[in-house]
Amino acid sequence: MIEILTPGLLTTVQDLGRPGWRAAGVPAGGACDALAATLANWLVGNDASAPLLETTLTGLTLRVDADTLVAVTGAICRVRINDQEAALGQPLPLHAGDRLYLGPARAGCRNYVAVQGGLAITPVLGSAATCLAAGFGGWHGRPLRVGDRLPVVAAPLRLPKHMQGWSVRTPLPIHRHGRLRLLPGPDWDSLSTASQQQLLSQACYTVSARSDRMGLRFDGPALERQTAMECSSEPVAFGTVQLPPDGQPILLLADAQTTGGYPRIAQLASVDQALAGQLRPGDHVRFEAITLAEAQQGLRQDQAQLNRLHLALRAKWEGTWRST
Amino acid sequence: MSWQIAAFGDRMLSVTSEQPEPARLAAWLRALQGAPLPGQTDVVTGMRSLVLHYDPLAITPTALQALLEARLATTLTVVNADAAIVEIPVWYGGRHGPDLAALAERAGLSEAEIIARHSAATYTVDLLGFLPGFAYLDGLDPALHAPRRATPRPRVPAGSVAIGADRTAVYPCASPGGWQLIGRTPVRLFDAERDPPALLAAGQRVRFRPQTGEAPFDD
Repeated sequence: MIEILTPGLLTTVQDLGRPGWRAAGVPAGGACDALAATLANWLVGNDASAPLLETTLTGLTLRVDADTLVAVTGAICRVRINDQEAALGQPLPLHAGDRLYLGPARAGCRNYVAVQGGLAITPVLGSAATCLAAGFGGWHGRPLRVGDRLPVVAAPLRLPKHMQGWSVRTPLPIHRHGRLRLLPGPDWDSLSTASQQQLLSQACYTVSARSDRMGLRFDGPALERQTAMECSSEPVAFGTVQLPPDGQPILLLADAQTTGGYPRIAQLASVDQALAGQLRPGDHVRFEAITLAEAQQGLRQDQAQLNRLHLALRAKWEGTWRST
Repeated sequence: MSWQIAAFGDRMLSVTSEQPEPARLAAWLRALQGAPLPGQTDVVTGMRSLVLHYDPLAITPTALQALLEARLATTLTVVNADAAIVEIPVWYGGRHGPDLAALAERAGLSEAEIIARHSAATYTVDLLGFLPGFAYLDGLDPALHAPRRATPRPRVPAGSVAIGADRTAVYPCASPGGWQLIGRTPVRLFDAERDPPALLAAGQRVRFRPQTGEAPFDD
């Protein structure tokens, strides 16, 4: 059992989401930085899809009531176990009664806290992810509050044979200045040529404070439509870039509605989704074009790298990894 | 062809028609849900497009597009006139439909006439979006068309029956909402624990049945 002492700005139970229900109006949801969530789970010996916590900007404090193993990934922040400094990206043994503290994020937006065994959350529509809009899934369909006590799947505690000196750095570095690569969306041609060039040039867009799990809003050079066309409700997804009337692009994230009426001018390359999930208000972003072939090759390369990492972590668990 | 298939990012294909064709899209949706293509992870429709989500590590977009074209070309899109019509009981007006009076005045009709016209029509679901289980219904009497409220309500009760522009819909759960509220139903249009979770799907037909007597709402 883990008890929430301070929940921070927005902490929810997440996993890798529930694709397959968009025709019912249900977004896939799940961790905004699926890569960090996957790594946190692997670091404690869980499957990638085990339910875990996602925090937002200000961290959290929790207490465990039994010996366990946790890991924290994602945004750069201080981690403490009781009064001791601890590290991100490492398996951390906790004793019954220990408190885990995550400080405010210094870079990046979201942290992931995995517990060995995974949180004991009954899946809804195939997933433990929280659907905040409709109030289901996760922990009673809502953000976590002070005093919430979440059960953990019971399992004999397993510790890696060698606890010292191994850590995983999230492969995607979190910078204050980001580059996001875009493919053209179905309504790309609705943008004026000048605006197309502006979006993909070195124009700087600053993440607005009016951002959340549904999407990022930006402040930057306004984009203009070619024609004042009426747009109908069409499917959108994590990574869709919309153009609302005020000309400031919106980049949709994990909890975005499944359809939208704004022009869909671009779609984020999937390899940059984890980066988008870590952008915070004040971050500066530049957009770049990428081809479909390059984007898919990037996906294959990232998956190969992830597979190697998974094998390396599993080898560490068995104590068979040798340093060279 | 009046429709074309193109990549929409690196994990989606979009089938787009020039004109809104929600009925044909709904038929394609059912066909793809019933027999998914290799690598398919989800399928969803809008007013004039269908989006197929796929795993790019399982299939290339080129191969998938060829399979999709073949599937769409062989899918019949005949409207099933015998399909059951979903009937939704509604308590119209009063505190369950706070915008009904203003709507009636705007339309130059009595409230009773608004209710009669709203419940006389057979509607068709264009698509689901905005919220889980939120179905945009086509077939609203033009006399009832009304713009969205200038300021959305921060909380619309679950089951509220509403009008927005030329569409009508039922809010499946409590949510912020900008549509004009004319009544309320106890029917749950979305229940994550139910099979299927969403009561309505694209292409389905719906009617509203006015109810009298005490309304069964606690809140």
